[in-house]
Amino acid sequence: MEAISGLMTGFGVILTPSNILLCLLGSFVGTMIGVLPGIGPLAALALLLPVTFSLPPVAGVVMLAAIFYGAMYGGSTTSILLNIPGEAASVVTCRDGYQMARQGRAGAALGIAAIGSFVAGTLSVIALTFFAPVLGVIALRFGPPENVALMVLGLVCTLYMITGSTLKGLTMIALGVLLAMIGIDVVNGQERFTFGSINLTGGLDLLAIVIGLFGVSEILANVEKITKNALIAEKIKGLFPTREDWKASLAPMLRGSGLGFLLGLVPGGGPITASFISYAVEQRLAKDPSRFGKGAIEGVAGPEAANNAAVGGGMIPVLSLGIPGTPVTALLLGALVIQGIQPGPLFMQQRPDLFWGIVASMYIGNVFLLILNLPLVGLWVQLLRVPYRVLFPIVLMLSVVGTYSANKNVFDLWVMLSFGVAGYVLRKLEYDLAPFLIAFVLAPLLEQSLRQSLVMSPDGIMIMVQRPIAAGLIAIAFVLVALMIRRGLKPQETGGLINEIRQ
Amino acid sequence: MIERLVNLTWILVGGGAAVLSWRIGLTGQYGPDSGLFPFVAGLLVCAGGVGLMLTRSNAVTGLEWPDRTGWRRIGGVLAGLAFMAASIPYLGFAVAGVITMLILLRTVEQSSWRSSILLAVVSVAVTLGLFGYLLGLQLPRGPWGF
Amino acid sequence: MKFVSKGKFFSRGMAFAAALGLAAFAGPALAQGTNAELVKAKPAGFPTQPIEMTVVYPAGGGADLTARLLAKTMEQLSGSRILVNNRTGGAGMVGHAWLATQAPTDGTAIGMLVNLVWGDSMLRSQGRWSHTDLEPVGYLNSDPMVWFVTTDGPFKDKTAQQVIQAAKEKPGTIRVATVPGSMWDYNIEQVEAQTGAKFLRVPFQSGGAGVVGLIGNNVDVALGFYAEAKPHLDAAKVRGVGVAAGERLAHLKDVPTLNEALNGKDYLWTLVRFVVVPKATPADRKAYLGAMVKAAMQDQGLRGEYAKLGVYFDPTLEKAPNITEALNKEAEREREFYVKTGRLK
Repeated sequence: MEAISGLMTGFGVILTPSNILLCLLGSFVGTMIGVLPGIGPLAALALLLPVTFSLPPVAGVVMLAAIFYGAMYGGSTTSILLNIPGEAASVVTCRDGYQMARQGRAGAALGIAAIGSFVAGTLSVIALTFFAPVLGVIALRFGPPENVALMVLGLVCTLYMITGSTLKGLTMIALGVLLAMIGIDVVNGQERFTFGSINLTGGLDLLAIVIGLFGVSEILANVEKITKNALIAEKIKGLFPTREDWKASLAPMLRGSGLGFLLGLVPGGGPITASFISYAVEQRLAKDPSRFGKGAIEGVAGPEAANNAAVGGGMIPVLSLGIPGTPVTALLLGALVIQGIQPGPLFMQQRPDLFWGIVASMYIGNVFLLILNLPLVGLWVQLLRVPYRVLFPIVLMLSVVGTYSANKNVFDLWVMLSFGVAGYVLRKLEYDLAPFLIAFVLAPLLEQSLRQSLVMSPDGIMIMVQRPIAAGLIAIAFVLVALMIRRGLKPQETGGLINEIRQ
Repeated sequence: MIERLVNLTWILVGGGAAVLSWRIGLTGQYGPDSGLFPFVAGLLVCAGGVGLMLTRSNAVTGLEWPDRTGWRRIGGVLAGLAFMAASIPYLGFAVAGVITMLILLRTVEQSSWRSSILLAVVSVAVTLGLFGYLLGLQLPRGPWGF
Repeated sequence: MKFVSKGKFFSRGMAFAAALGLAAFAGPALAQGTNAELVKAKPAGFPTQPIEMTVVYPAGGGADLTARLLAKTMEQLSGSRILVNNRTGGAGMVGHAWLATQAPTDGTAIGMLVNLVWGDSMLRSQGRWSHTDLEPVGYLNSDPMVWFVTTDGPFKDKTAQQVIQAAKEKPGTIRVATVPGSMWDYNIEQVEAQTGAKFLRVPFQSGGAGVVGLIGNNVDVALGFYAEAKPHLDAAKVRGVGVAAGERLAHLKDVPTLNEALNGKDYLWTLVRFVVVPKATPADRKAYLGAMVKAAMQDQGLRGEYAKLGVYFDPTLEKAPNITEALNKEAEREREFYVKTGRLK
């Protein structure tokens, strides 16, 4: 009850005509910037942050929330339309989203992504409204050993989603781990594989890799054979999801929301992990897993809901403890602090107006996202009618700007270019590149947490089974591996690891 | 052929990384040191390469590489991007961007000079206006101040 | 002049909103007008392009906040447009190297750095760049290292002396969060060397991460800065046991300094934030940029914002007649420590 009256106060604080217009503006601009290839929510927020500084705190927060939700959703647009992810968390969306677009169902994919984002965003804000203080504590229970277990589980889940040759997929995972090791080792400051280059001390930039491996290589594969102008515009079928789409997407959306929310709560989770795990889960649960990668709407609904919910979940430790778990939430926290708002355990009691104002603005931001973006779906689909010869140079130029804007380092452009070439060749050879990416994301945290755990632990590796949460997660990972091996041992089914090693 | 080269790359990169990490040191006072993770990952990449080299079932069948026009277009895109990355620090974003766009438009689709120049200038100007002015992103400037 | 400068920052927001037809609803900007002296001091021929303030850590962090608040005030006072740019990577190494070797030297590049740049340059740059290529032109504020324990853990009512006693009696069992190869490590090492205690050092990537580890009961002691623990201090989840500064902090009055608690005199580990320009920048432009920082630091609004972040203003550095020399002297002190401990030959 307290939450509801609090929320009413919050709405009272923010529902003024000028705030609503700012919300609309923020959500529009956020979407526009987020749609640009290479510019995901992090870059969009960083770019738009100074605009909010010139506003009074409440208005600034409202606009920030709107920009954020807009950019979050915008990131998936180019994944679906062009097979070019706007950021790492929408890499999985490419798999089925783009296939849907090729079948003329881009509108349905975009619509489901918007609705999935809205449902997940709203559900996670509702959870935040009622359970923020209780759930905040979960974040604290995740120390280094729990992170190790979570990362292991994440890697095991990616094994499930390898398409094509399993051995190639495993090689990609190992390569992802290996390349993630480049740079300064945070545990002891040792430089690894930097070969004397200052640019490599920071490691390879995730965004540059995503844009190169998925964006540039896609463009290379397309320019190779473009003969016609229009890509896939001829056969656009209906703009909105059909009744069947709804039925197929509802459960994945809800599962994705729950999963993403829980993963968002804990420090090692975050939107990227959430989207990958959600995809693996949907594929596993599907009656016919072979549809995945060929335009299954569940493969869009689940991950898109999961990555949005993960950020909603991530706001709980930020608002209730002042602890950000991902770069995006760290940026949001910084923006609040600049506005003179210091979230923390006492924030809710000391400044209920602001706390509930922020929560209310998240509700509003979500609603505006939906109102604004459903009509825009038609507009985005028209993008497919732009001749590719005009579209691709512009996309490349924006990719260059997006990649550069993250670190302001020209070296990242070379990284992007190299991964573009590598991505092109590996695609031709039918390598699955998504496992590489998730391994690249998870490996550094896995390594750091494992080493922290071993330092902390008096009994060495036993710390992993002495702590209940860690032990539970490890047990799940073991069960998953066992299931996979069993599946692989059955000769009639394909895709299993053992099966392939035998051949 | 290219597939075998890629497999060989895995063997060499993985093996090389394993050797380098061995030198960094595998274990320390509390278990893994900086070298352990890259060592294991390197070995696995190397083993993956060996496995792919030896098995036939993993090789791609019906692999199609582009024809000559295809290579020219791909070469054009790569040359454009490489030019951009190399020249940004010296020419600034605006000039490097326009030249890159011209390379892309001329080599890939061989659009007319007029429409290429128009599209190049307009799109770079819009990008600069949006990011440089409205969003305050500092894009590198050339010696002529833009 | 006054009118133009007042609107500079705001005009961008307006243009932004106007582009979307919503100009009327953008909120009011908090401009307070320019400082006439500063406007007059602008050297002839100073570039008209915006000044780029480089921060070597990611957006949203402590350094970034410090820089953005500073940039905003400097912009209002000087009428020149100032943009904050985060050149991140390699724990600051990429940005430091850029500033020292590649940044333009026409006065349009300045850097908001912390004194971690010295260790980065002396121990890790491998001769690729040096902090001596950068000249400090203005001092901002300082943040001393604080030792934190939880209010419900084993040290809930213990003093720093007792914590260290425990680490002496059961060597290698008291878990302390550290950031390897940095001030955190040095402070612990110094305490160990001078008291004979032995901690179990658990590596974290930042002081803030260590404080989170402390609250989650993954370590027993964490070293960090006031701002990193502020929400948890307010909620009485953690408390400070010692401050590595010369005197007690205004906002942590009842936390003794490590010198008091351990009877020492050189437990001084402070994060110092300051502004640098590339050494090759013309002298008059350096002076102008220095004057800009100085004027901003006299602004009560900015001081108030900084105070809210829990920093303190070191009077010796604030009053130093030549800030470049004063900070270079600090750098030399750090070099001596590295030589003494065998890190540097």
